[in-house]
Amino acid sequence: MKKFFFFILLSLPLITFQACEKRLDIVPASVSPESLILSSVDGLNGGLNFAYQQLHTDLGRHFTIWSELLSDHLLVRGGAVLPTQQFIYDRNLDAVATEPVSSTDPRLVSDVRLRDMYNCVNTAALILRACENGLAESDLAYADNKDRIMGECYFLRAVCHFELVRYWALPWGTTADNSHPGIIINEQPVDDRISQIKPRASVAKVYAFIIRDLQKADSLLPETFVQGVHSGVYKGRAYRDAAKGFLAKVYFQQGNYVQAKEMIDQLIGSTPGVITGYPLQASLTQLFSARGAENTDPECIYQTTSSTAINASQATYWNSTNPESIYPRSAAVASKGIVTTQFITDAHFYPQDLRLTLFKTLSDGRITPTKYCLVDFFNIPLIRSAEMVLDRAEIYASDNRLEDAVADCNTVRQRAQIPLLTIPISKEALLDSIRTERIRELCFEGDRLHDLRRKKQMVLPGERAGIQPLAWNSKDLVLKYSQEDMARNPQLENNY
Amino acid sequence: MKISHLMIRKIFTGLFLLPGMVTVATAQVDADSLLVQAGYRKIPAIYVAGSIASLGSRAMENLVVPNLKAAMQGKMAGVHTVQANGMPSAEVAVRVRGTGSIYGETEPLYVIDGIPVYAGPREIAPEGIGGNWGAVFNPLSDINPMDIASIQVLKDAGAAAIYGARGANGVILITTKNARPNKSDVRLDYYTGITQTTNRVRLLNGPDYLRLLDQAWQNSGQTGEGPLPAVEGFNRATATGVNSDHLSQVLGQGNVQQLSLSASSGTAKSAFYFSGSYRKEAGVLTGNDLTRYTGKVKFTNQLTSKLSINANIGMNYSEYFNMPVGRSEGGGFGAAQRNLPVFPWYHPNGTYFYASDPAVYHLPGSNIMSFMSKNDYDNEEQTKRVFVAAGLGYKVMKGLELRVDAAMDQYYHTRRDYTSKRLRYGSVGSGTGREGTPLAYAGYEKYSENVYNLLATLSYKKIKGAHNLSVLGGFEVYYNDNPYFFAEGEGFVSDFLRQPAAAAYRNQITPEALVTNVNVVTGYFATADYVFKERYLLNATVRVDASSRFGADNKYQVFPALSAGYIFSGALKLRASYGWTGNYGIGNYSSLERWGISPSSRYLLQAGVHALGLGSPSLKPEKQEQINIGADFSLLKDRISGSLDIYNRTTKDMILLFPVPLSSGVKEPGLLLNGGAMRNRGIELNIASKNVQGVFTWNTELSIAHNQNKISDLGGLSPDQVSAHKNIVNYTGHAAGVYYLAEYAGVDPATGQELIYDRDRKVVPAISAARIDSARIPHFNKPSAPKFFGGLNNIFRYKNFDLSAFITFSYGNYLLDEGERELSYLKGKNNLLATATQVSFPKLRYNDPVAGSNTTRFLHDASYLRMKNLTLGYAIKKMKLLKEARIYLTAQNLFTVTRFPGWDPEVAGSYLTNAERSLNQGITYMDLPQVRSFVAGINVKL
Repeated sequence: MKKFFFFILLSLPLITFQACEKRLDIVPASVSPESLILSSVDGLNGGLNFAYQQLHTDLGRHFTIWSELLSDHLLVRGGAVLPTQQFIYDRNLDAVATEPVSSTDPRLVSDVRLRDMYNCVNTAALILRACENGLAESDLAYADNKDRIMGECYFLRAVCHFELVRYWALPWGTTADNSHPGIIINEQPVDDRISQIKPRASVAKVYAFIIRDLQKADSLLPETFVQGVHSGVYKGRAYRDAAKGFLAKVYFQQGNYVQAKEMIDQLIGSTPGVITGYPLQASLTQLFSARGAENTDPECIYQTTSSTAINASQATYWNSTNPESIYPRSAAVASKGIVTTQFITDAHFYPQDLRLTLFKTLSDGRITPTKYCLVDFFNIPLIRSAEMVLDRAEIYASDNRLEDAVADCNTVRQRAQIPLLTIPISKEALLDSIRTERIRELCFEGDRLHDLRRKKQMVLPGERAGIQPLAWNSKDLVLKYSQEDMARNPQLENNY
Repeated sequence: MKISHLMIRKIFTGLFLLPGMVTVATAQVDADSLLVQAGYRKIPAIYVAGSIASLGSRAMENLVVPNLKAAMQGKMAGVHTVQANGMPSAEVAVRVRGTGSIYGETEPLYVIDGIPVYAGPREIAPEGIGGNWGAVFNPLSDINPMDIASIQVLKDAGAAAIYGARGANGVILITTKNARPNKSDVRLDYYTGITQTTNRVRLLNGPDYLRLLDQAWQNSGQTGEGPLPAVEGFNRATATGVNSDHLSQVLGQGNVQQLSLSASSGTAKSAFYFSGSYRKEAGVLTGNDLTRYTGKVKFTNQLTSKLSINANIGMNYSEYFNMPVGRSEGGGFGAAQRNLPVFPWYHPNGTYFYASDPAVYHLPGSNIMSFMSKNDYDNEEQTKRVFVAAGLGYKVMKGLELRVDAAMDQYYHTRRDYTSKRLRYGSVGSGTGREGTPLAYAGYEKYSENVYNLLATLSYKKIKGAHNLSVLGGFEVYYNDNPYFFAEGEGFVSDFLRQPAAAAYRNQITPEALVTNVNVVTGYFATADYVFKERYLLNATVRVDASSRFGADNKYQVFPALSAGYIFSGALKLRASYGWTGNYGIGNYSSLERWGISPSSRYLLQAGVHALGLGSPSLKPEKQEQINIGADFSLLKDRISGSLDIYNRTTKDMILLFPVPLSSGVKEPGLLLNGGAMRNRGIELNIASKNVQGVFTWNTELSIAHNQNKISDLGGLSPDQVSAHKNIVNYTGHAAGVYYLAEYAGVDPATGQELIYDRDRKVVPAISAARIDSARIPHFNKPSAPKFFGGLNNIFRYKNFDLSAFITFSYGNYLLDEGERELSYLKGKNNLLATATQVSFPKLRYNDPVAGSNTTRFLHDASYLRMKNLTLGYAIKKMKLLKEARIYLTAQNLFTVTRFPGWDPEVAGSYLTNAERSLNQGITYMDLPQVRSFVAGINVKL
């Protein structure tokens, strides 16, 4: 009996111990591994939510204003609140690459922008891998959503690469075969740090990759949100035409007018002067004040969709009392973003042009754009049919189809209630008119720098004092990689 | 006090070399039992072959210290103890034998009565606007130092290997009081006193500020008067009439009182101890108060000749009002220094004047008056600790004993903060139209640490002839979870409905956080102590630990150690040990590839999940290989006794953060991998001497240690890649945490221009941040860790009087005073040091472009010698009804000898991450200085 008691005593702790051993493999409830988190449609959608958030943190915000700040139509007066904006305006891109987020956050602002894009890229790649491996196959909703999810991944990844290559590499066409360095392409998900020590792919390869991904997105994405089939979160995100819209933008940037036109025809209809898809809307202010996924402007092919319930982070940049904004909504805060005299010359608006309602004259007589400060938050248009139809007008004009070009250009002029172009008109005069129309229509929406580069025109100093005009493919207009990132990836070639 | 280097050196040498003054019995022995805690067992002090430092009951008696960690300061050689700042519950940084890690934990393991307890740091960072205001809270500040009987520190691997993966930073074993057999004691302790800051930094007054502002404005090429910040209702005319001394408003005289009552009773078979205490401390920073209650019950009983049981129950509660200090926003100690002296506190209509723009969402204005009003600002923290342990011992047969102990330590930390709409605007998250309009805020946070510990040991003791063998084997399961809850809300109907639940608007970006976080350690261990002929000592220890924190490929880790000793006579013992310990303080989920959600990762209000880190399945604890050689000695019939230890402690598989290229697209910036190595090498000396014996006695105790840290491998990373602050980097071959600054070259007497040395040692004007950055060099000869540190205690007794004078010192360390930099450049929004009026001060420029750059101008020798404690007591023994009564007067931090020009050289920063704690201890920024206190007290024993 005594021996038995002794044995029990000794074995009791050992049994307990065995039970505790199992606890060594902890699956935390607050964080989970990929294999679990991506094993349901909800999980995959969650990953996509993050990817969209990362993309739209910059798209429509930083990337939109950077294009304007680097080119010639915007004057920043009295110092931008965000140092990055000031550095970019001063074309001091060295400073952009060394500016920390704050005195306590040593991360660099430009690194954060790069990271946003690559976070989106990697998340998309991880979700694609999960789909390829059928991680969520047991989820009943998966079959209906698989193509949609994969299509969104290709779309997101392509758009990120497109934004990155336009800011962190010399533009398309700088070398004849575009063999100059583009950016790092991530086609596979990243599992370790060593695989990321690699050189930048050429601009040609990056564009080819973007086009391939957008084509896949085009074939996989649904035409629109279908209640009962797609997860509710999909509403307001990218549909098939968003992929087509970006394809049109990419081809147009490349000067590949044939394919750009093909995409535009698919989007707005192929009859010159008649927009059947995404018709132009009479109200310009509505275009910049639509809110939420239920109320996207019919003219928009793709937009940063705001929520209706809250001033989502995407819109704060532009249009709230947020002191970061250079076009503050509050009348009490002085507007720092002023149009340059060059813009006034370039645009030479008719006095009756409806688009002038999107400007405000300040007490000192200077003019500030108000597109982004009409309401507190709204869907930020990223691709709209006016851009497409002006692209096509220019394509027709370059192709000597002057009548068709006039018809397309007049759709925009008609909406603005200014005199229509008439035939006959010379090709040069027509091209000039179309390009002027483009400035009037798309000004301050982030088009300027990319458009100058496409046209291979000098980037003038605007109202900056003592700054020389820069060639369209000047390295002084290309963002730099930080020393920190160069150290992390020794194979990275910088833009100096 | 201005003191030259030479003087300090003279004082130091004078103190140490006074002949005959030196000694101590290695306080290595618990006077009551002559047994020391050696980890899961007690062994006779004389048999210890590892390096164990002790504070015995005599040293703990009559200590007037605010918390348990402070009790160790200067008393144990090699245990470096620095309180972060002068706030009542500020964290105390403790390093045993130097900093042994960069990205891992550096604090030792705390074990109270055999049970590991939660001692910090937090696993989850605080959230909300009041999240990291004040100092990081010291969880052990809730323990009453009066309950402690003795403290042992296991310093070398020979002693600490039995704690395996948790032993690398040393182990602090705390034994609480219990009754002595057949004795009953009742003891009452009370003390009360006042506190004040040890130092005061002087700032410009209003008229001087305006004068310098205009000068600076003109110096930067402008004409006329310098501009004042654009604040509504504020202009030059109002400024001229204002001279606000913000510092005098926030700093005041504090006070402290503590009452402890304990009763104990012992018989031959049982022992019982009960205690309760109350402490109230009003900090020197107005509004910064601490109240603490503790209760404790402990008993042991020998039920039968074979079976004994014991229980140990403690309950502590503390209440703390926090004020912003350091880098915190808001109107606290930092604001009192930064705010312009020409800012009034109130508008003529009685509303608060905002010294800074409250339109920066989510952050309140920095008017100090608003923060001193409990109606407008309230940041109350509460901690509760319930500690319950129970165990049984069963003597299976002669010499063989089984013990099973189970314990639970539950620690809760709650924080409620409230800021009224009079000092803040609504945040972006409060919803459209509300951001930028006055809106009150309330946050509530609850952080818990639940530690469950199960321990079973089997020990066997046998003495046969000259052989004396003790063997112990056992296992331990340690389970720790830390649930965290946070909620916040904005917009309150009344200032008296302050909970997030009563908020009109939830923050729609970060509505709440609820996280649980778990880690588990299981370990098997065995140790054998063998003594031959009372002369030869041998110990072998091995522990195998597994932890959920280690990577999947490295779950089990082995930690062996061996120590040996030889006793020449009672007067000299030589010891040597070699062994391995581990550092498991690497974060709960560092090795896991994992996805999570972050509040900002949502699109169209739908939450997003994302990959946080890549995961590293091979991650294992850092290992420390340590050799220790020591001697315990006793001379002149125990008149002089002491111990001397030399050690070499090598951190292998040191964890480093390998930065991941941005293109990898994961949230975390790097990957923790075992890839570096570091070494700490040093010498420690403890001496106690009985200088004079008889009616008048004079005892002296000295502890002094020197430690040299060197990084031997950075895993191929560059100096600035191993960094948590741009002014501190790391080099292979040098101590961790090297100041990386441009060297200040003084002022050009002709122009007043600030000068620096460029990298070619040429003196150049410091005209731009870029120039200063390009002149940065590492300052290897100005370390942030002291060359030596320790304490010297002199105790005099004459009849009923006792007098002790305890000095602590630190020599050879440097501090970078970033607060001083902040107050040295005129940016138009901040005040300046009063010295700015002097000619030797560099010429001021309005909005100086170099204002954000540190140079060695702000790097100072922070050696100090501090009169830590001076106590005069008078005791009456054997009175009617009383066994003993003693009254005493104590002065703490009475004076400090230093050349450091800032607030206080004794400062340790307050950080949330391991890397910051390891590397940035030498940076101070507007930290509240330690307090000087004058206390009168009484002990009564019945």
